[in-house]
Amino acid sequence: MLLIKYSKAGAMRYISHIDLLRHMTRILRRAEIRPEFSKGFNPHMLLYFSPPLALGLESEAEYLTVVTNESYSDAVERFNMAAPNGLRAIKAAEVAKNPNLQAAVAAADYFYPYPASVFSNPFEFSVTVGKKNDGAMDVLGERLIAVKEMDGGCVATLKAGAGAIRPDAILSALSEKYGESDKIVRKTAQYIEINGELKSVDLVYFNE
Amino acid sequence: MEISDYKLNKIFLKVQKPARYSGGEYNTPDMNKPCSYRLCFCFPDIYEIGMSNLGLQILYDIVNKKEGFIAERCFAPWHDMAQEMKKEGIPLFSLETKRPLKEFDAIGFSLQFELLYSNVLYMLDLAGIPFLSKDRDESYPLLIAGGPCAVNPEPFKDFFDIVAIGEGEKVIEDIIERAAEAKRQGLSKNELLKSLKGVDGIYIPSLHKKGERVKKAVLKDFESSPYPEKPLVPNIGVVHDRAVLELYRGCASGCRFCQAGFYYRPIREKSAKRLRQTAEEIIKNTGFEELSLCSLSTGDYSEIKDLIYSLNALSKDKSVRLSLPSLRLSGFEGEYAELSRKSSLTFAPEAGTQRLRNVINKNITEEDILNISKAFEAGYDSIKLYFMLGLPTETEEDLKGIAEICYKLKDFYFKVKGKRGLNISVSCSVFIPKPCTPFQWERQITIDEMLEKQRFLQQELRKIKGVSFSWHGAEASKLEAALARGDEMLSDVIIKAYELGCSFDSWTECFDFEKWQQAFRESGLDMEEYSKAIDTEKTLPWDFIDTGVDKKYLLKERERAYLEEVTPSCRNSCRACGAMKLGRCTICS
Repeated sequence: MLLIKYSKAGAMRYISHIDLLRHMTRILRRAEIRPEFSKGFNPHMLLYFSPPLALGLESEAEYLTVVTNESYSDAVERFNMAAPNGLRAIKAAEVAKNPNLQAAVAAADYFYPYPASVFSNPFEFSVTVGKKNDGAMDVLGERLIAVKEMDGGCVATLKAGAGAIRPDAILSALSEKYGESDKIVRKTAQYIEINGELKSVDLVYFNE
Repeated sequence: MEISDYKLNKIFLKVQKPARYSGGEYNTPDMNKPCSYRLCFCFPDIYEIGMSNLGLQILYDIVNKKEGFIAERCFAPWHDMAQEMKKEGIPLFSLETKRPLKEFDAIGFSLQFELLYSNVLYMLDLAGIPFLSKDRDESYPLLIAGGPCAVNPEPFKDFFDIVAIGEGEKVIEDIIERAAEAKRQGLSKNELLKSLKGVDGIYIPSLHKKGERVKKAVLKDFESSPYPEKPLVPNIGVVHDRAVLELYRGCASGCRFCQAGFYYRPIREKSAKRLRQTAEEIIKNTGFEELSLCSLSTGDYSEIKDLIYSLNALSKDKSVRLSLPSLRLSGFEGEYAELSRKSSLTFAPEAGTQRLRNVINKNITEEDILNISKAFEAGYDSIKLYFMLGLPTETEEDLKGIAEICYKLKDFYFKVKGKRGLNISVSCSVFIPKPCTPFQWERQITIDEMLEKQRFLQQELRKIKGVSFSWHGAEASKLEAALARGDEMLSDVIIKAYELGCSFDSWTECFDFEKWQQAFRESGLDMEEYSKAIDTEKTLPWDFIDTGVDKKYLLKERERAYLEEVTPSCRNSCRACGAMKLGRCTICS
């Protein structure tokens, strides 16, 4: 089984998760990386993704698991030769078992082009959730796990999975309050929980 | 000047499927190469439809392979996007470099379907370009139209500087090479147009004199014609999201209602060898998981067995699905169907009785329909049947014949597989008399007649279990007929309709027949007039176009139709339609 860490940026940030799946199957075909197929009337490639990235956001830490019996020492090069601009493999590793990141990811880091101080009172940070017009509000609260200054903004660690608040909804709240930024929000890391502790996917699967 | 990322990002996130507008598809050609002439291909429908068009991919590939030329694309933005663009003051722009359309040297519109005419104006309006050729000075791009609708350019000729008649591969090169030269020399638009006049496939409405003829452009050497081996891989799911092989141009069948069958003559086939090579390249370069064969009657291709055999090997090797669309009944063989397993099979008998099939020259016999049982044996449970209502000489018997075909299929199925499980879906369009066919003089039935026939058939089919019935909108068919056989008076009507709010007329939810009627009325015209029978002595608006097929031949075919006489396939013997004078028919020895 092959775990690929990749980035999604540029024009590709407008590709929805469902279309991304189609892009991936075609990249793998062009790259001649051969996944296993499901058995059934309409066989499909056995691919597993980390949680979907909101439309319009960039990411430098997305993960794809390819179920395959073959090993590819040059998976990164192959992928990048075959990928459209905006999708880039960063590293790849063989894993014994599907890490099931879709369910396992518990938190993620996001770069916001605003100073860290905007997140200083997470219990007073309200966000519009749900459909745009129904006006339902929620408070960030404990779902903000950590925040630190970064060049040109800050990185917020946000809870992922059930009960999470969408990172793009947080951006809307920030733009409304502090004005729009011309910089794009970017996911920079994803974490899984091991024995009550957050460990980055990179650390667990790539030893980095 | 390119529109800034920041400005676009803001609106992209407010609209549905922003990837329709963002570009960056895999296989996008080099947009930074030195370029002295820049062209934008416009397709007056949404991304998902336009990206499924083979012609667009062919021409895009030809221009981008030429040194010094760049072609970009632009599709009609859906209403939500148009609204945001207007709000932010963003003019219509290209997908590749986000350049406003107005800044291109030339704009080429592909006209695939009459109901897209209002969308040409919709796009020009968003681009800030005046509709009429005479209102555009030297600062505006050269506007070119092409595609199958150019068979009768009169309804839209006032919008364009040039209309490309026939196959675009060579014409587009002729136009842009001269236009680039004219740009270098600083010639005026009018001087450029003068120098293009008389070239095969080029119609210049502003310089055209009465009595002059324009010859349709034909690609003579189809075997070695350019074909995109690195087509763009769409960003989002599109209608035809797969690799496409064009087996041949033209059609040997000569169905008397079919415009494409006459317009794309002479018949020119590619060799199975070249097709196999092309297929391999496309699969390698795109990663498409499906390969389809495209031509007017795929099953009639001379080397179909060899081709399918070799493609089947490729398909197994690369896990690529093979899909075989538009098989005529007579070309159907059970083994082909088995190679390309799908959930349902599609057939187009077009008419319910042998008599009417003889009239329209759809060379399918009852025996051929029997052939469908082979499909049942191969495991199919679902059949789609296409018919046309309102064909010349049609009677109630012919409509009943449609139901009889369904009963027969049920019987076959019963014998092979048993009582339950068969699904027949019957889909009926309305006959539209189209230019350049033996039926170009025929009347189209009125909307009331259409509704009556649909009601009748619905009742007949309701009695048969497992049969579902769908039909094409009567009002849209009426408008399509008017625009198809329209004259130069219609450009006013199209402008009025657009101003009244018409756009995306091919989308049922957007189509507003009332507004079109109003547009005709306000121009002092009656839409119904355009679908009446035309005297065969009369000069037709499109008579000045030389499609190769003689008008006398069309008349003769019309007579044979009324005598219920079948004209055999060109593959049996040459019928001397006249198309050979424009190029060699490769099935003729």
